[in-house]
Amino acid sequence: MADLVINDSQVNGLIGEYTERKVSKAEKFLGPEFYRIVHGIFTNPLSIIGFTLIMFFILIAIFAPQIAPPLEGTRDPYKILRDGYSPYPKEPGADWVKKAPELPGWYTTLTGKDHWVHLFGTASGGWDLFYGVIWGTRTAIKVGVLIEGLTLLLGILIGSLAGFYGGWLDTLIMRVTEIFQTFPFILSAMTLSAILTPTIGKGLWPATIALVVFGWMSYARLIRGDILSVRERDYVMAARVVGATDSRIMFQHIIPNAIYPTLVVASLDIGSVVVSFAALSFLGIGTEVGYADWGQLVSFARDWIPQLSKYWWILIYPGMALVLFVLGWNLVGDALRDIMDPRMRGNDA
Amino acid sequence: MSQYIIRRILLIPVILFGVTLLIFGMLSSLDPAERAALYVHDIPKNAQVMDSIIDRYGLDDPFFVQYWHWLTGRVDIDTGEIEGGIIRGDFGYSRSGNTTVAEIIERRFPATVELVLYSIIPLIGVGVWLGIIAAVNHNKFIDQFARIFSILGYSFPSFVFGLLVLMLFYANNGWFPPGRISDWANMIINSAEFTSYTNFITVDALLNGRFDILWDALRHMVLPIITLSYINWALFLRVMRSSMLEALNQDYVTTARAKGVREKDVINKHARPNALIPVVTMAGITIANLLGGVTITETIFNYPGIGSAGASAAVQLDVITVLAFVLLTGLIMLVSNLIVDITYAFLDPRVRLS
Repeated sequence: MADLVINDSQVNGLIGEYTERKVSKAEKFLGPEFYRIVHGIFTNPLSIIGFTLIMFFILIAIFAPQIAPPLEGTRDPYKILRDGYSPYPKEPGADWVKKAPELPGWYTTLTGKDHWVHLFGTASGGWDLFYGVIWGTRTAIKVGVLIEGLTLLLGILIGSLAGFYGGWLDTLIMRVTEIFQTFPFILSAMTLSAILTPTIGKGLWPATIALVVFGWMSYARLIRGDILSVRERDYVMAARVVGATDSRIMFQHIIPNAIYPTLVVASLDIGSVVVSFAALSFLGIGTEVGYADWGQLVSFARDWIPQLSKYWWILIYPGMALVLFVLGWNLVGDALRDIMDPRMRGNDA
Repeated sequence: MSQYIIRRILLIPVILFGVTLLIFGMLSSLDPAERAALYVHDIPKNAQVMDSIIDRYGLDDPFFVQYWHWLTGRVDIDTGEIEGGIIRGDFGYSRSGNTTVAEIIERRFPATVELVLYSIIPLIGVGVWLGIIAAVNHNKFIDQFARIFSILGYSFPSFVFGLLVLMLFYANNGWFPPGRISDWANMIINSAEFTSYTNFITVDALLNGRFDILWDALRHMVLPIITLSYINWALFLRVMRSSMLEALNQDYVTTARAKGVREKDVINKHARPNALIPVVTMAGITIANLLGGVTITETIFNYPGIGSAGASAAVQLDVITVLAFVLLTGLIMLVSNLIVDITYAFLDPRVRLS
């Protein structure tokens, strides 16, 4: 029995240690769970590289008109600038033949030239690749956020209906989800945009709608699962007892507490959404020829497969932009997956 | 266990009904003139002829009547023969392929299957192997290297990677050409001296004793296989690594080590078999996905499989053809998901014995 006696100083020591754990302002603000995620992301070297890449592309998108100024008086800056209609690609550094855009401020300092050249070369048909890659960044981010936002909205709506009401509605919705998951993603998205194109015309919308229609399922399942667990919490019961309406319980109590995992997963899917969109336009579905978007730029390289070692720039520049963009998202996503994986918890590597 | 399997099998018709309904929903958003391709080869320009076709095949009927006819076929008023009906394998006529859809599938599906069969071994084998190495050397250099290698692969869109390998291994030196077979070999295959037993060119070449054709066919498949493998390795590496790490932390592994089992046997005989279970699920899904047509990869390499047929049909807005492919792929997915789930249940002792 004597062994079990703990003297006062030991007890004080234990309490002292406990109270001494430093809780930073950031942790207080974000809450322990969310703080752990944020902290993990910003201390992992790979995810820092990822963040830097993403920021880099966001800056390019914001400053696109300054980096690659459109011709004066153009109505649509997303239309890639064309320098003549020559069937042969021109190498990087070739002079502009036709009217070139105005020189931006950074140009002469960085390149040491006083006239526009094709910095990244041109594809066949005189499309300027530099202009295409820069404005394509805008398209990528625009499309990524738009598609991801719509997909998420649809997923959350469907998933929360299933999770909140349960019963036969849940069964029905989950069967429908299964049906949609049976469809092959790219092929179905291609089909739907092919059906939509004659009615709504070429542009960003057919592919956007198609990718949303066949992309919401995983978010619906994710949020449904989280809602099912949140629904049983005491505070939801309390809200019900005081007579809150269904929609109030749903939007004020359940969704705010269940939404974070879905939001995090969804925001990191922007990279893969951009790839799917680029794949569709690579295959010739979606935007019109000459619209600044990376998938289409890469597809210019398809015309020159046997001569690609000669005309490498058509593939390398837009391809690199796409790969680095996706790499940025994946690096952050990979770090996040490790942080959120309960098996890796407490293991500070 | 058997109850679970029965429930899963009973669900298949329900899901199939939903899938076909959705597909027909997309079909019926076309105008009746386009849907005529379900029954007739040449769509007439003449409006009167068109009207009589619409009338004759009931393309103006209510949705569910048309759906039923599309599903089971309809009896021709004049001849009494059954026409159309996807259950009978009649998907109508393909504008982009200039023949019946069923014939396109028959001609192109073996090419896809052949490519997929050759891809599976490097795709899954190397991915799993990398995952094991990464887990065994957890957090050491080799682990970090494998992870970066795989994240990079995961970040390459297949069309960029495909064009890149074409640039390096074809445009420069002509080593591995795109397509399925060279022209000279194709001529021999179509001639009388060559018998096609299986429509898998490599197998047929072996059976005919033509090693030059076998070599030619393999050469054409190298780049698509590399592309499919590299972009999928990341997935297998990640799953295998994390499930191997989990297995290595289990009590039975500690027990084995405590008994003095060699580390090699601990990894290969104790940890690996259990760590492989989640990989089985993923392998099944991956194979099903590949069989559904590796749309983009086939298109880049100009490989005449079902994926590139689907892509070119979609680009030409030939909805009838693509939807048939979507249905076929969906069916493959459904059946293979069932197989995967049942295998999973048999492999995992916790599920099997419950």
